[in-house]
Amino acid sequence: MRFIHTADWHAGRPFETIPDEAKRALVRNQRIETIRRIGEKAREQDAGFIVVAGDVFDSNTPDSSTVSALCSAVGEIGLPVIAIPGNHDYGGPGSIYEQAFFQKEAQNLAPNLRIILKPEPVEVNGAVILACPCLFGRSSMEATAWLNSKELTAGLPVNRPRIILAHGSIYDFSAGSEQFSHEDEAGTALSSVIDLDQIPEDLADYIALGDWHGTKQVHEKAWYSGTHEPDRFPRHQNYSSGNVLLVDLIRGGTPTVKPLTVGEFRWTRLSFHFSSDTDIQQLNVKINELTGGQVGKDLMKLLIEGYAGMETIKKVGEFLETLKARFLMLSCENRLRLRPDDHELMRLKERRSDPIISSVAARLVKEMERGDDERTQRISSLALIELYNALIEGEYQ
Amino acid sequence: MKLASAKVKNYRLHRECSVEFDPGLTVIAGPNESGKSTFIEAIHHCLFAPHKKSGQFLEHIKSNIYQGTNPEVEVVIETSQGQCRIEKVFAGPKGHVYLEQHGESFQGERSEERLLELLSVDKPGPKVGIEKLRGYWSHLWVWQGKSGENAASHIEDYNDRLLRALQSVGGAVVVQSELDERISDIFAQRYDEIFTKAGKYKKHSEQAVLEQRLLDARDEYEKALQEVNRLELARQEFMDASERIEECKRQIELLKLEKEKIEKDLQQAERVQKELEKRQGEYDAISKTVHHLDQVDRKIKELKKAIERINGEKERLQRGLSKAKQHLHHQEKEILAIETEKGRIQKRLSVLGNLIRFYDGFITLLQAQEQMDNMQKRGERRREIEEKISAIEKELAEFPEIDKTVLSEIRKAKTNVDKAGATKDAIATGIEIVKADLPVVVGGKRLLAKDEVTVTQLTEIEVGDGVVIAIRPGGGDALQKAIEEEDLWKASLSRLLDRLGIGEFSQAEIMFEKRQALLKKLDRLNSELKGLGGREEDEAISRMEKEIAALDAEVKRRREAVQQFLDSHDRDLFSARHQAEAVKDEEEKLLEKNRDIEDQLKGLRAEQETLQNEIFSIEKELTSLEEKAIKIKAQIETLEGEHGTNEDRRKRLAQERNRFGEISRDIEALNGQLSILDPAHLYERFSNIKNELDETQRALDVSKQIKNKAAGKLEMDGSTDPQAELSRYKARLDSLEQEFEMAKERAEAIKLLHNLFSQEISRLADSYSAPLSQKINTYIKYVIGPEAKVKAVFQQDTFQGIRLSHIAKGVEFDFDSLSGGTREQVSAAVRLAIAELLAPDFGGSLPVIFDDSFTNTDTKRLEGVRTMLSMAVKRGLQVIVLTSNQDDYIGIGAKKIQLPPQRPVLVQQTAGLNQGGPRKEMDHPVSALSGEDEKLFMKRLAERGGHCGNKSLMAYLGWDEERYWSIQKTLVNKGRITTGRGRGGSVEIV
Repeated sequence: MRFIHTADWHAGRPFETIPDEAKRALVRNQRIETIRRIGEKAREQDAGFIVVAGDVFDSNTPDSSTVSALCSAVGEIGLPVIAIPGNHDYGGPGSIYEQAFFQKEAQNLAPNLRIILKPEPVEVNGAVILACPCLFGRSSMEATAWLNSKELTAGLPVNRPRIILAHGSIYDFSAGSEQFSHEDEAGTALSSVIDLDQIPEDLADYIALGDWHGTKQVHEKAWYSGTHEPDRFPRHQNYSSGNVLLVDLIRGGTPTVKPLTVGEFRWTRLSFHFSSDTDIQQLNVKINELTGGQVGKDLMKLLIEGYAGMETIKKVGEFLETLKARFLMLSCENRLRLRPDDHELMRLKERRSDPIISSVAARLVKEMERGDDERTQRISSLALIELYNALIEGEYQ
Repeated sequence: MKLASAKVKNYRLHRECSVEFDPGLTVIAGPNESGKSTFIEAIHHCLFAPHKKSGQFLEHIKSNIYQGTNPEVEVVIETSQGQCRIEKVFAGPKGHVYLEQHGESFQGERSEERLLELLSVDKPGPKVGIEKLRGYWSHLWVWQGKSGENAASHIEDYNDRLLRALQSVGGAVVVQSELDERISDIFAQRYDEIFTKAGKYKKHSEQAVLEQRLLDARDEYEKALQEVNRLELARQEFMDASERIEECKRQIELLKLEKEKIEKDLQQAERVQKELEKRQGEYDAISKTVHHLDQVDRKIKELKKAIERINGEKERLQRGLSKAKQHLHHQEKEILAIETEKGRIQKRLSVLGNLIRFYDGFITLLQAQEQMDNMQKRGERRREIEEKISAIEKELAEFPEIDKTVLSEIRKAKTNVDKAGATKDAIATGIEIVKADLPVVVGGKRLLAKDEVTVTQLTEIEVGDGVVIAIRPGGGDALQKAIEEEDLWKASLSRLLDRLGIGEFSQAEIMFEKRQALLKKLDRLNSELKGLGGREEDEAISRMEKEIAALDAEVKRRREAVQQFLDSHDRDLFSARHQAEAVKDEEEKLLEKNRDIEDQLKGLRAEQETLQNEIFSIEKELTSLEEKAIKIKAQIETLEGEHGTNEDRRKRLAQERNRFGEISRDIEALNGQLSILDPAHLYERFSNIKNELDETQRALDVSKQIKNKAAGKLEMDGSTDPQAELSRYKARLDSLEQEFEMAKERAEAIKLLHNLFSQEISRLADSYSAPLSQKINTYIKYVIGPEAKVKAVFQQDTFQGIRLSHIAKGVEFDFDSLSGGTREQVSAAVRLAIAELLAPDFGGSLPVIFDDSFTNTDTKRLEGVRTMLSMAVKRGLQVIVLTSNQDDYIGIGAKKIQLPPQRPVLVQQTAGLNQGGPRKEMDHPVSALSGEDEKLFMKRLAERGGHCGNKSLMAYLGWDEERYWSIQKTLVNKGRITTGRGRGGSVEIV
């Protein structure tokens, strides 16, 4: 029994922080494109079906084009795709799965897609899927509660491999400082926590989990596949997303799990410290290492700190503009502070012929160096740079 | 450079006036109209005005007193290179100039150029106006009325020179560069682009635009949030409604079951109820029968009792009837006795009536006879009187008919005769013959001695022969008239007497009296006769006789009827009347008795009738009772016929009562059943459940509606993803916030730059203005005190003015905000300081002229002003002070020059000036319309509270001395204002 475990497609995710509209559209669209790639992998690997552990859509109210695009991509896979709603697209009144448009598009474009909207066992290609869908007004705990009901599970076929399909965070003792593993930026609500210990040990052979966007094994039999296409900047070094899991399974055995990379775009974080004006070359090298000089593939969160002279600051500004053009997104926190070099200082302060300018510049430098208020320093730096630029322009006139 | 001397000729009011100035301090004093200002103006014109200047300028300075002359001014200047003498004659194109310096002399333009070079000023244009002209050296030359102006405004043309001077004394070490200025301007401009004057962001600045976009983005975010919340709410509503629907359905099932059960019980209760009603019907029927039988029994008994009652009543009535009949019989007897008595009284009454009639007739007869006697006596008396009357009438017939009228006519005629005679006698001349030795004939009549005659007309008196005397009595016509009148009246009198047949007037009176006495007697008799009735009396007597006869016959007839009742029969009236009254008394008594009997009879008859009625009614009652008894008997018979006899009825009653007991027991049992079922309670529960069912059904419907509505809300059109929208708006809001923060910082940076540039520029300016400030302070400390500090303000290298700060109070003042006195003192100090600074360029000295420049300064400060001026002189300046109050400058060590008072300017001259058309650039507009000026003077004085110093009013009016004093004098002469004391004098509205 071989299948693919994926989750957290988040179709229709707005990527609101990407300022460029066209790039934003690209990133959004890639989430659909990567679904097609899952299909390719599944066929390559001869998988029997695909399970999606929740959050197929990013919200419960996706727009029509997203619905159509998703159905179309799923339809192209050609294999059965079994999905449950997650905390983003939970089932219930008003959910996307109840909308007439979705139902029509799913029927027309993706007859292989089956969304399970009730906690129940479902048989697919010889496997039994114990679905724990997220539903409106119910916690994840409640979603899995039925697994403890002997009445409900008693009649399950004995020899078929069983897969629990669930969505939610779990207690994660391996993560050290973090009590939960959860990817939602808003933090973890108790309502979306699953307690794996509450699930009868031998009930299932594999637990396919969704919600955590990085690929992660949390139990002998329990895995988060992570999202198929990266959608955020990693917080940990061992965070890996953009994968699906190829699972081999027999009833009563231990699952064999193999991550396959399907993701397209890179999401990277980088911190860089300036200690001298020559460090700008270092920055260039570091970024090239990360991107391989590719264009239109990267989203980066960059933090620049340290001190530099006016010319360097100007160059850094220009460099960042270039990166902005090349990347799908550059989110840069520029904490680089001005420390004019001797030459610059001379140019500003030592102006015997222009007594006013030199005394203004001297006062600004003093203000900037005073260091009791960050904002005042910033403003003084800005003023100094403005003055510097005005002088350069003025002197050429 | 100093002014050494000046000579002015034919210049306005000056014929000729020359002054030699002290190299230090000169005080030119003079009363107000002495022409000090004119004199100093002439010097200024000599130095700066083009000598060929004509037009209004020339008209203005020409003398109107010394007609046909041209103004001439000569000024000698002391320079470091020696003296320089300038002579100008102002005569328009014919004017000329002469300059002498170092033994060289120049004329015309050449000398003008030379002079201006010396004075270091630009050449004025040919059309330079008077005001512009006055601007030359105005930093040194304080014109009258201008002492309070900002000295900086007079330095414009000398600013560069002043700056150079300041630099030379070490003021400005550095000067801002062109680049400084350019960069500063750039940031000033950029600041202006961003900020308003109030320090807010300008409308279209980047910051304001961003701020607005931020607000809009926040709105959009809020809206998106609302949309998402709305969906969330709808979802919750949907779920709640679904739950309610399930709950309602469950309840409806339960209620329906309960309802069925109650319906079954109700059916059972209805059956019992019907059975009960049937039994109740039977029960009612039996009880009706029993009741009926009881009633019949009771009725028969009642009827029998009634018959007994009727019989008793009948007996009682019979007894009453016989009693009434006895009573009636007794009554009838009594009535008969009374009626007999009544007949007897009637008979006697008839006799009495006849007697009364007899006496009436008899009395009448007696009365008529008595009347007859009287009448006969009166007839005899009448005949007696008639005889007397005829005797008197006979006597009267013999008398003439002299009555009162005739007598008065006679008397009148007599009186008139006497009157006329007397008149005639009075007029006529009396002649008395005293002695007649010769015959005297008067009027033809011989008179003897002792004779007297009266002559009434022209009468001739003959005495003897040959003596005729004509006497003409006086009176003229009157005498004649009197004579004629006398004759007339005498004729009338004798006519009257003749008619009566009386000889003399005296007899007429006697006759009249006698006749009157007879007439009176006749009247008396006639009136008595009238009282006796006259002749018709006789007819009455004969009528009476006939009447008496008739009465007598009647009396005889009546007597026959009563003869037997008459005792006596007196013929006298008195006794007849007495008897008649006795009869009438008796009649009256009998009539009363008769009435009593009538009354008694009436009462008895009424009683009789009542008894008869009583008897009748008793008999009727008896008959009716009889009938009643018969009817009741018939009823009893009918009832017994219908319901059987007493025995039958008892049997039937017993049967019915038996059945009654059975039914009562049945009813009790049924009632027991009913009370267990309690249908009332069942009905109540039934209706409650029905209501509850309805209500639950309604709640179900409502919930379904809510659910449908919520479902509708949840149906998405798929055009957008509200959640994604919300995220996007949030992101945009965040990024705009960040952008705005950055833009604010950029704006702050520009603001910082702008402020720093302004501060540095002003600091630099302060540094080179310091020597000027210090210089000013060395002067002003004498006036205001050491705690006041003046700061010269420069902007863009230009002297803008000063600010005065009070160190102790820590306050600063603008020049314009200072008081008038302080302004003129500070302004003087500034001028002295500037003059001192500029002096090195002019051989170390410059003259400073103050024309009445301290008019607002009080006595205390004036001391300081004096010290300040002395200090200026010590520092090498030449100071010339013009004042109308030379006492102000006592003890100052000045050369004092007194200008003699001059005659004020006449008006004609200025009137001529105005003919040329509208005045332009007239600094001294001496108005021809002095009436207008007077009005203006009064108006301004009133504005100043009606009381004002001459100097300050003059300044307020903006007039020169001539104009002011001429109008002031005029108004004083007219008595509209009075002068008062004070420095420079004062005026007050009368």
